[in-house]
Amino acid sequence: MGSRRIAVLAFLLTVILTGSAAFGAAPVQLTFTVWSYSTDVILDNIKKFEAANPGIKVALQDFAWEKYVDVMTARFVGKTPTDLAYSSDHWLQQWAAANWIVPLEDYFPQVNAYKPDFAPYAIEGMTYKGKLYGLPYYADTIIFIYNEEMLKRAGFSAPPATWDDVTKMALAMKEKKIVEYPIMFQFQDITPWYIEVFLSMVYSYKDYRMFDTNLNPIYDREGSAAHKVAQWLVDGMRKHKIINPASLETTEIPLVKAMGAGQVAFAVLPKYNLADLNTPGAHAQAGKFKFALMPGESHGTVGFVRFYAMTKMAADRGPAVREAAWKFLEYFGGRTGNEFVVVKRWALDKGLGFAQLPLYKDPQIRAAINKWGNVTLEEQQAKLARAKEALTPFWGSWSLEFQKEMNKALLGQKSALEALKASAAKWREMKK
Amino acid sequence: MSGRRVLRSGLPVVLSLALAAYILAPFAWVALSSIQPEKELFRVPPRWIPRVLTVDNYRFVFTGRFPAGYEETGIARGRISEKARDALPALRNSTIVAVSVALANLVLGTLAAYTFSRLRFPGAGPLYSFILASRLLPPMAVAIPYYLIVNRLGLLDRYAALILIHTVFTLPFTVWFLTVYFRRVPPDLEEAAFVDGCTRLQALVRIVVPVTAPALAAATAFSFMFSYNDFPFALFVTSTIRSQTIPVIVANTAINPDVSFGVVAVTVVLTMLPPVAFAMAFRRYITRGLITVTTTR
Repeated sequence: MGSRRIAVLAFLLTVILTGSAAFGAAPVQLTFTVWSYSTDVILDNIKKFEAANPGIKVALQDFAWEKYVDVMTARFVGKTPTDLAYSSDHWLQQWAAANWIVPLEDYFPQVNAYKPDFAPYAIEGMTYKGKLYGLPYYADTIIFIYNEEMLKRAGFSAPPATWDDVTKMALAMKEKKIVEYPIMFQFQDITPWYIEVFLSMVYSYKDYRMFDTNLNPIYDREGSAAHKVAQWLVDGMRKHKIINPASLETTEIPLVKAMGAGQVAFAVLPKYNLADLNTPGAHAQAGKFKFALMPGESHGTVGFVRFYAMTKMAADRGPAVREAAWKFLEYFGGRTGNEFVVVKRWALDKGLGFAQLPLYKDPQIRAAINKWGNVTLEEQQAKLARAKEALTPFWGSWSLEFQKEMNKALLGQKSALEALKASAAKWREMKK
Repeated sequence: MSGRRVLRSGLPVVLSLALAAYILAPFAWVALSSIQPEKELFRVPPRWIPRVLTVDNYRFVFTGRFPAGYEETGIARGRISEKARDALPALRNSTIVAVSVALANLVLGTLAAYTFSRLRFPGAGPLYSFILASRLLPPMAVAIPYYLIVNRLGLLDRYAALILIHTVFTLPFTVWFLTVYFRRVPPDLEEAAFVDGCTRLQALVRIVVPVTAPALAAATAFSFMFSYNDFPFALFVTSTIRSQTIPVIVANTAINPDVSFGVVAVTVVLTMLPPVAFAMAFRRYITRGLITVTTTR
């Protein structure tokens, strides 16, 4: 009896101890940094992820978009706990070269199975030295948006197919006093979108290359695609006066709002803005906006990707954290069940683009996009999109120099070619 | 009254009104923007006197209820800065940090300035120069080193980090400002107190502090304003609404892709209220303190 009682007690004790260990096990804590866009949606996604993965807790920290790189640099240098982070093709090279983020396939070989699902430009934008560093948060193209009603009032029934068409139509609108400056850009010299917009115009030419195979700049040669674009911009602003001079102080959202208010007929913008522009109630001109393939010879454009990355700090925290990080990455950028749940939500709720090509077959997505855009045209433009060339660790710094020089040309302080040459000299200096 | 006399008496009034309009116009514009629907702000041509007024933007910040035009429409909701809803806790954080910095300046600055103005000790001159010179450092030059120190101390995303950094930056000015003022106070006053048995600290608290109240108020106000307005340090050492201050939240609201300018205007209006209240309350002291110090040789 005594030994039996002891055995029962021992069993109960074991159950209690193992049970308490299992129930009391501290959840894996992940710190996730983002730029502050729709944090309510992100928090809701995190809540659903935590409910599906009870052993994982995610702390969200968000920072202003335009200060994000500075803050993240300080965090990485100071080794502030950061496990997962939004990243961008802009910064991948710098972050990967500094070993701040790690190649996913070194830790999660299963990530390679996702590659066939992703648009080529997105894979390129997330790849450094042949290795994939992220799963896409969203991916999109830079597109040419126009106000269809203004175009019709100016006497045109089809959108422009070349940059000369754009000039011709803009001059007609100006002449008929439909709008004083039909074209506006977001060319404030610090905005990261500036270079993407410029390159999307360059990529619309057949001979679009900015650099040779050894990453030496060739865009500063007379007659290059970049030279044609730069000259077209300078002429548009200074000679034809069809480009709003306020472009030099404008960023993305003021441009979208000005367009929505009917102050702009043509703009080159990330595609998701079309969803906002055509949202009833959001803008006075909502419903009148369409997009056309990027004007030019080839109608090519820039495709860009923002993605979820895992930091070196997370990788070094051990297998439990890595496993939790993979679950997070797959939930947010990959499939849950058989669906890209979070990516689809961004597309439906906010009109964000996606790199996950199977989503184009989703009837819900197609119907949603067709309400504010044109899914067939979108697919066509996505196929013509290409990742930015020469994404080196100094690409971000060079792009700021490029933008400053280009603005000098737009202000008439130097010629378009001189501005290109000056920025190319900066590239060569940085490359050394 | 001759035309010349009218001109002479009226011109300063006109110029003052023009100057006031120049200073106040941006604030008025922001205040008016905060009570208009987003679409009205982008109307072409703009209406200088608003015709459609609404409290929707304020209601969104205080309750989270979306303004008209932002409600679900079946496609996607119009962009609105959800971050603006953090404005109220951020105001609380800003006030806690700025008041703490002001109090730290008041206590430490008074003691240090009194010491420099009354006591002679070895190294006083170089030390005073060092304190003054440290004020000349541009904040961004030390942002990353401070970040690393704060991180090492385990104070990231804590009030203490901001209070420490802001105190370091404001104290030199406070010490200089109060030292100049204390030197104006005749030492005879304290000597009489010493005769009556006061210690030096008692003399400071009971005699010097009351007669230098305007300068103390001015110094406190300056440190409050520096701390309240600081953006770069707050951006780096805070990361959640537990400690984020109002300049960080206004920036997050204003420069993100989901900005709505009516809501940004609300956060700006709310941001202006505490310093305006502070300035109104201490206006008389601040003016007197400034005049006295700037006219002291």
